[in-house]
Amino acid sequence: MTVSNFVFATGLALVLVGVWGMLTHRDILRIIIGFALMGTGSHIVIIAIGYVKNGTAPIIDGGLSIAEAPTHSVDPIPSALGVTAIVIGFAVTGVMLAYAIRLYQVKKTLSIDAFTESKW
Amino acid sequence: MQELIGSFVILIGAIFLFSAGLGMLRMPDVFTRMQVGTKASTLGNTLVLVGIAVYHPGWSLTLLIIIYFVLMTNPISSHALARSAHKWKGLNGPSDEPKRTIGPVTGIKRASAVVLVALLGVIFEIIAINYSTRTSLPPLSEAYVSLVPRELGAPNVITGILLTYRAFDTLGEVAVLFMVAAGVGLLLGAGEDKSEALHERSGITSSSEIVQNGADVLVPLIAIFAAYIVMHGHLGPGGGFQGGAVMASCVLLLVLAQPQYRVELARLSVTESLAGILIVLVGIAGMIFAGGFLDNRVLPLGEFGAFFSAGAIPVLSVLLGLKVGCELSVIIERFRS
Repeated sequence: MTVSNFVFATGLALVLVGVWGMLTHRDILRIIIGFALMGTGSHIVIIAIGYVKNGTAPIIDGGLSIAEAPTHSVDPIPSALGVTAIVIGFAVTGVMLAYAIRLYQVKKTLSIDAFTESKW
Repeated sequence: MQELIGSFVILIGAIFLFSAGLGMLRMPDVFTRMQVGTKASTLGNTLVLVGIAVYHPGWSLTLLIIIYFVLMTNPISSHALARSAHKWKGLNGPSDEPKRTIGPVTGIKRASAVVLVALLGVIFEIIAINYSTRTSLPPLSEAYVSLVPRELGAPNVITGILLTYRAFDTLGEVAVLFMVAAGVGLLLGAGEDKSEALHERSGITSSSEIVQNGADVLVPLIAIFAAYIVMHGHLGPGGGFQGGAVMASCVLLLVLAQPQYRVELARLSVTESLAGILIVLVGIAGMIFAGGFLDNRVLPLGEFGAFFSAGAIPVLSVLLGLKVGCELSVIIERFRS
């Protein structure tokens, strides 16, 4: 067991908490919070996957020379994907919150039960 | 001995942070939660940073600056929160209408949620058990790690990937952010006049002196920090997205401190479009003068690790920072009204 195992497990646990929150709450804001938690958990999982034993950040400076970079740095690809995922997660949360405001303006409530039009 | 003292201080800080989390869960209302979240977490953060300073005395100056920021921002933000919560209560009057809380789902839905989450948990457990820390890089990552410093002249491998090898992705990402800014505007902008009238009726016309003075002190510092992050992306942690987000937090602080302050959406969108066009132009220049779209070698690579180096990466970083900062500011402005 190393640190990255714990980080990996924490990320998965956060995803679970997020899914639980999304499924069991009827308040739209809480559903959005659940979604954001799920996203955060998946970011942590991505970063944990990129960890390489005894690796440091893939930035060439005093602590890491060009020659030893391929053996002593963590995987840069998950980090780059993480940046992308954070930005897209932010974007999705922003749109969801805008929809929540709009729905509240229409029905004066944030309970998901009030919105039955699209129910099949 | 030094390490022991450092660890001990960090441990005390962690205990305070834990009590802050516990208090958030246990305290009954806004104000008690707020004082837990501010007092305990400020002290906890400060203690953790002091502990790190004992560990690495060389970092003391940096840590001191961070502590200064924590001590400046935490109380001011909680003060602003408390003020608005107080106003909100005053607005609604003492609770004459019954509290409309929206409870969690019950019955068969809850049972199916339990089953679903349990199944997902089993799958995750299998994944987590089979996960083991890697000991070497996969071939593609190894190629990136060795190619970015040699070919692109950028010490930060991740920035090299984001702004050259996968820069097309980054361009698409910025386009997604732009669409979100436009979509949020479309969703919230329709009833602008109405909401403005509501805004004035609710009496939130000025913020307190503490928030205003705090913003006066912090906004220039945060702006400098944002510029540093944007300009430093090819050398160390940082880059356009991060710096742009910090820049937008500057705008958010201004909006909080001065409710009359209106973000000029027209100027922002002009700046943002210009930055976008320039990014694409740099990309096309890469097709003509170098290896392909958004190749950074249109400009000389310069000395490795110098401020002006790594070809077009700093230029792209600045443009990206401007674009992201503008887009996030537009989103903030849209959400305010």
